Amino acid sequence: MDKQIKKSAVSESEMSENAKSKLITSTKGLKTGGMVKAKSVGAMIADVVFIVLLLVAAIICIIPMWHVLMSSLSQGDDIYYYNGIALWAQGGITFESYGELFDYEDGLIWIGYGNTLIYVAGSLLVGLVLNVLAGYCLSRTSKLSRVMSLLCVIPVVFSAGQAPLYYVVNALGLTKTYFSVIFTECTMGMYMIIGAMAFRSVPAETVESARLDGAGHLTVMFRIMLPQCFSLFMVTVLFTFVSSWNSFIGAQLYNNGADEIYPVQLILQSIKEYSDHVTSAVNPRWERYPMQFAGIVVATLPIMIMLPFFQKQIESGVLGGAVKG
Amino acid sequence: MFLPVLLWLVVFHYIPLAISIPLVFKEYDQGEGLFNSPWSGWDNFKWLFTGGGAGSSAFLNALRNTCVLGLLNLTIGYIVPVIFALIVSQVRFKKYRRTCQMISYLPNFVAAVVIVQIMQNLLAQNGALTTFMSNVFGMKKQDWVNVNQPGFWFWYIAFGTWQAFGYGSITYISAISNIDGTLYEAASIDGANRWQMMWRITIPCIMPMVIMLWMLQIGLVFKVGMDKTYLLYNASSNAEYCDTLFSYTMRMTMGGDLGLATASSLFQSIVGMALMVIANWLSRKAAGVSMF
Repeated sequence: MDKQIKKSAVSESEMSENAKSKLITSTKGLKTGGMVKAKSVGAMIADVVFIVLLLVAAIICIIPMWHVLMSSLSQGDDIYYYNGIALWAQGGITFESYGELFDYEDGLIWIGYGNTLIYVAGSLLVGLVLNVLAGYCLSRTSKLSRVMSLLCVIPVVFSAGQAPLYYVVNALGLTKTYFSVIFTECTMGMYMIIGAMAFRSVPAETVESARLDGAGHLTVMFRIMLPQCFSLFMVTVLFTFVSSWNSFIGAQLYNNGADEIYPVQLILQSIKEYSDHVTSAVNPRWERYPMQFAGIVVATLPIMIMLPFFQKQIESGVLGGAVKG
Repeated sequence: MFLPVLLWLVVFHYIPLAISIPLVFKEYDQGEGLFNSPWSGWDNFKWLFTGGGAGSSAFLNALRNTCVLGLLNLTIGYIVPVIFALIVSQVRFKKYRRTCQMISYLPNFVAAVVIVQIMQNLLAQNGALTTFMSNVFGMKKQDWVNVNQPGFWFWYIAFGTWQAFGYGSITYISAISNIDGTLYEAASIDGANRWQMMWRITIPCIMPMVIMLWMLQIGLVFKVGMDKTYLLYNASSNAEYCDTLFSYTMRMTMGGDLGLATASSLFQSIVGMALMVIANWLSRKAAGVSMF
């Protein structure tokens, strides 16, 4: 029996000769006895070590963000002169910096916030429509679908960069409008291919029977197929949401100078500059220094709170991308 | 039904691609417009590589930094996620494991603007990380994001790795959980301990995937998220070590020099594609897996 298991283990794995001999020697060790007890203690130590290692990694991931949160709740001069990681608010918890932040330039942060919401909503809407349409067309087996998927993939591999795109956006008269960012950043070829994968996952019989009942392309797509595979589209929705929330390049490039439609990320830049400047004054208004941290918290917290609910989608998005290259 | 998609692709990808040719080979003058601007041959490319008689070329400097950062990313930035995946797979408590995994994804979703501000804060002259490193390792106390020293590269990669390792480990964790459980059972009946199982089963089983993804990553060296360098760039303090192809192109575009920006992007795309084809070929030869 022992031999049989050993045989199957070796044949199934890609173990080297060396590994086999190691296994055999360890089997001998087991037979001599006295190893069972030692192993269990060792296993427990190993368990603890790995748990601690994982905890350390998680702490490293979270601590810079915690530092920012605590800095935003600190007294300005205390946090400015404190040169360690702020594990707790320096000089006692205060919300002064948030008050300063919301008052800054008549609530500039909220204008930025509103703009970001417009960019995000627009990108989500346009992106979803394009992804669904492209996904449906790519998923159908027709002569054109190969050409269409090629058209979607080429931009992923080869692009002429920002400058010609800027020229086109400018020529279309989209600069200094919300549309410049929405249209250029709403989707990409990768998401269209994920869309095609989503539509392919719907069983062909369902589509066929709907067709026989006289349903057209649009009905089949929106009423029959989309409800069945929408969970797969959630991945593209989630990634578009995060990337357009975090994006600043587009607004910086196309809407440069149009402050009234800056997204919150660009507002953060100006807040940082302003609040760093405060410290060099003769009589610094210290409560304005942690404003930059408060800004980061306000702009980042929604995403950080939202993400844990989408762990599955994040993982399936990565794996779907990896499968397809 | 493909029409809206086609329209979007043509307007925002294929027309820019077509326009890049006159942009690159003309002396683009905003006042005259693209069509009236005179043709200038390869001048834009020549300018990139010679710096237009200014002595040193900012483009070549950016190219060097891109290569160095890309290579560091391919080594340090590539090993850490694999190690993290191995650690995660060794922890048995599922809830605890999932929670830690979720926390490790978070930095990847933080905006570039915020990451850069955190870097500037922690690595300032009296910042927390600078103080810590100078106390523990005796590193110099200085503003590490604003130095013309290779130390800048180190910190850029350290933060890049910090940001991406959890997210990058997803693929490996899934690969490890897909390894046939009977292998471990058989090994444990044979008395193999955890180290032996990790070295003899887990690592050999995910190795082909690690190698394949690494080689595919070579093709993306030029494309890795360098938008942070655009934000970190400071002409007077860290230009020599911070400027990358991305930040160079972005600055040229913002400055209205579309010809140079396009030349730089095209160079980036063409070399990147060549690298990708080579990497793909390598991956097919070595691991039998390829992208196209």
